[in-house]
Order: sequence, then structure tokens, then C-alpha cells
Amino acid sequence: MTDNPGSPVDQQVLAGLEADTSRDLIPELIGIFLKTADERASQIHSSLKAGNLEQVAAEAHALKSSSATFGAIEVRRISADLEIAGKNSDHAGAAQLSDALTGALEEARQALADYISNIPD
Amino acid sequence: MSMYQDDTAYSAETDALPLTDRIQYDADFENLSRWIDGRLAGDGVLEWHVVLADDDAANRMVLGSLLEKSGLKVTWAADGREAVNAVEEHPVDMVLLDINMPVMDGLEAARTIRALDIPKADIPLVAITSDVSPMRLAEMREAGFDVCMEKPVRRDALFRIILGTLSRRVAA
Repeated sequence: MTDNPGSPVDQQVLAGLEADTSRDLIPELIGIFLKTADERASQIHSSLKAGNLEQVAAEAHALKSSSATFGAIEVRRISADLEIAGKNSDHAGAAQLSDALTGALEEARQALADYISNIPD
Repeated sequence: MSMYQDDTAYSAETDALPLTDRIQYDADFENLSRWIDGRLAGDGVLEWHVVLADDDAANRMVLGSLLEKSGLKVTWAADGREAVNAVEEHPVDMVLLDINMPVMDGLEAARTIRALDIPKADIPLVAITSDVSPMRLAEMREAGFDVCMEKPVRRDALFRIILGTLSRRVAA
């Protein structure tokens, strides 16, 4: 459930994260999430090229977890499917999902930047 | 009687899946909160030391920040080996372990801690993971975890487990 249906990011999850940690820390936490998410997406692409679907599943599992923490709904959904594709040695399916992941990450990046810019001083 | 429960009973109040009967998740949280507030009003620390292991920097930062914000001393670990080292080298009250980690995963770390000498072998172990499949839960139970919490973990749910368990251990 999101406050903004259609948004790639669940605002309620972010609000909960803000309450659990601190408003001041949110930009740094989001920055770390995006950096590690980029690294994992890159690792997924290279593992796919190398035919290492076990590694694809492992990286997708980790990305599924962190994207859930930051409310990145679509990234989480694709990562979950990618993890399954990796475990099932479904190379074609994993390749499609890997491409979709790139777009979903960009959309999440923009939505998270918007969230940060709307945090009151 | 086995130390393990026969069935994994989901606790909606805490989002926790107890794996043994050692973890308290039915604590009187209002009284507990007052007790904690009283402790924090002193020097701002609870004197409890928690080891937190997660290979994902973002998840580690989120959990570590909310634990430190609540007055706990936290040792941060990027894998199971670092968590075990921290347990061996320092007095530790509780260990929170991700399961899928490089170098040493959470299951192996739990088995290694349970094989240490008492009292370190008796430290409460909490699994924090996004994989709560029946097979994985069985593996966690076998490895010696007391409770599993599904990611993403919220502060109140985590603190019900931490405070309920550690305050009772102090009182025991």
C-alpha cells in the first residue's frame, strides 16, 4: 500500500524508516541503499553474462531485502522474480528481468530523490 | 522435552517467528518501556551489547542506527565470521544475524556460537532475513536460532524481542 498509487516507492515505508531512525539520517541511508543497489545490479548483469545463475539469485535475494527496507516496490518485485529465475536456472527469464531491473532502479532513484528534496529542514 | 517448539507460531504483534521457547515476545511492553525510559534518562545507555551482522551496508546502517538510537551498544559486522569474532572477544548480550552472507553465513555463525563455551554459547540469537520459507526456518532452528524476524524489521517489533528477552535475563 502506498500514499501515492503508481509510485515506484512506498511513502509509508519511508515514513516508518524515518520514524525508526532519524530524519537527518534518511538522505545518507538512501544514498547507501542506491549505491549498493547499483553494485548489486551490476553484479547481476555480469553474473548473467558469465552464466553464473547461482550468483544472480544470491545478489537478487540481497537486493530484494534492501529494496523492501526502502519501500522500492518495483525493484523488490523484480528482484524476487529474478531470485526465482536464478534458482531455476532460467537464463532467458533472468535476462529479461535484469533489463527491467535497470529501469526500475532508475525510477526508484528519482522517487527517492524527490522524497529527500521534500524533507523539511 | 525438546528445547524447540514443535510448530513455528507466528506472533503478529512482533512479526516474529519464535524457534525456541527462550525468547520472550509477550513482555508487558508498556511497563518495559517505562523501565527503559528510566534507564535512558540516566546516562542514555542501556549497558546491553548487541552484535549486528548483515553484509548489505544499507540494511546494516538502518538496523544499527535504530539500535544505537535506542541506547544499545552495537558492534557492526559484515559477515558471520566477524560476528563470531566479536562474540569471542567481548561480552555480548544478543546477536542479530542475517542469513545469506559471504565468508560465513548466518547459519554457520549460529552453529559456531552455540559450540562455544557457556555462557557465550547461551547468547540469544535472532535471525533477520527475507527468506522465511519452512525449509529455511527448519535450518535456522537446527542451527540454534531462538527467533526469526522477517525483513524489513520495524523498531517496535525488534525491541519487543530485545527488551523483553534481555530484561528478563537481567532479572533472572
